[in-house]
Amino acid sequence: MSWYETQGYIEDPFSTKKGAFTEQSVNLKVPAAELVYNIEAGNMVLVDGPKGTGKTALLFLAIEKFEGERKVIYFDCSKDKVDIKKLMQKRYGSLGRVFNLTPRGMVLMLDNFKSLSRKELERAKYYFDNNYLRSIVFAGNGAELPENVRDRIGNRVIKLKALAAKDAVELVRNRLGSLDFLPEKIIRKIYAKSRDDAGAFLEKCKKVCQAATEGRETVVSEKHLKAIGDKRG
Amino acid sequence: MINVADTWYWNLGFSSNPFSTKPAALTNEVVGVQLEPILEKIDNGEIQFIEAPLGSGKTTLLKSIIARFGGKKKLIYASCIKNECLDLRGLLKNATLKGKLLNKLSKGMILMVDEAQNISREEAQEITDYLEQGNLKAVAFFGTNYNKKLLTNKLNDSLNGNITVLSYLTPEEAVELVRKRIGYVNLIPDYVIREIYGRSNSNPRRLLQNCEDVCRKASELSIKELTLTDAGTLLKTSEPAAAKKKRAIIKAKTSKKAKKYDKKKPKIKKTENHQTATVTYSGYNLENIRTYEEEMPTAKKGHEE
Repeated sequence: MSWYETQGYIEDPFSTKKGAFTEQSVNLKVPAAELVYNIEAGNMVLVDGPKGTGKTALLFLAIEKFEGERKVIYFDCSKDKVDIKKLMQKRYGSLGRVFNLTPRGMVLMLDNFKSLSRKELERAKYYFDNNYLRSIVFAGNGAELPENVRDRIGNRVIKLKALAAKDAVELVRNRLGSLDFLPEKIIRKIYAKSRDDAGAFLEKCKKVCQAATEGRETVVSEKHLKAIGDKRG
Repeated sequence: MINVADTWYWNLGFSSNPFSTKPAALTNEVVGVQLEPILEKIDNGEIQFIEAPLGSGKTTLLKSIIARFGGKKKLIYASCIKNECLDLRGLLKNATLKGKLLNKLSKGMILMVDEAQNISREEAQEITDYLEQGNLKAVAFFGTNYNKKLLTNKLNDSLNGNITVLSYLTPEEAVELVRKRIGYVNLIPDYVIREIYGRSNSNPRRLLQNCEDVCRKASELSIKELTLTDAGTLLKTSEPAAAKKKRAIIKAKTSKKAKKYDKKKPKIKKTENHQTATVTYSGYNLENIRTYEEEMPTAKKGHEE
């Protein structure tokens, strides 16, 4: 039995999997509304922010909005080599490849676009200009885009800020439902050790909760911070 | 969670964003460019270079030309990518069904090269060869700048100064461009469009993006008709960080100069009736401007009611 099942949760409340608990995200409502507007309006958008600021969560929040329309293509460029033509044709299955069918009005979300080749970037631009792509969302951290793509983006840049301490507390409250098991004081200490990275913060929260559950404790205390390498713990 | 049902352009009766900057948004919207001479040169089998900065409508122009030749299967469109080879042979082969089936290269085709500033010497040589063999009849390059060194001597000779530099739109043409998109709505009067165009560095793409920003915010604030001061304030709030920084640097420099000047000036003793100077920006009084932040809560309240 895993720690979270012992604590009465069906799934890991500190999961950092893509698309997990996006509805519980903090500080993403305004950027999400901005992103959805720009997608609807057919703009090219850049989502910029350091690691762990919620870029992927933001993309998944926007995907939820278009759920069921089969209009959104999400691709993590750091995982695999992207072939935008193939991605587009996939919508029609094998028929798409055989008959060279390209859908129109799609939304392309390119996460970690730093790894994207210049050729694919130009191809994406071509599909955008010709309305095969209604909107393109680039998400990444400080990566540079070619001048002609940057010019199309203009000031449609959504900058995400690092999680603040109070946001971190709210995030945990949203995930756990209450702060009975993991008190605010401990959350703030974990946050201080996470260097503004929300992903790392959640991982650390998980480790601490796991340690407390294994110790059959009802509340996480400072001694459990040992699990995340805190000497004072 | 996210409600976009009351997007500004829906409220104005548009089903999609009228200020979309996609070249495919409106193929017949070329403003301020004489299409006929360009088409004539293509018909005469000439080689030409159309030069213009980013966002000034090169691809839109290119698409209008393509639309004119629509369905005649006489035109090839290619976009140059830095360090990537243009597959001209493949394009010539796949241009017609006959070419595809018989594995034969088409003859007498018109080539339109977008992003021509990225062309390599090898690609230029390939184009020259196909021109000599008769596979290509005319070539039109579209790019941000014509670089003699990138093209072959033969191509440069054939160009023979056939370079069209797209001029900046006049404020009236900018108004025409916006009117083609949004029609005659009260929200954005002509003089506001002219002001926005001036603040967009006379760049049509930037103009459309700024018009979208201004109209969107005006709609959020329930402004029925924009004034020059409204447009100025709304544009300021939508400025990218880099532009804001630049503006701040300029402001700091001017204030330094002003301080220097103040030191030289004899000090004036303040009296009770002393009037404070009004701050002006772009020639308009900024004292009575409605600020975006100030008006947002009231607009929201009104909306909730």
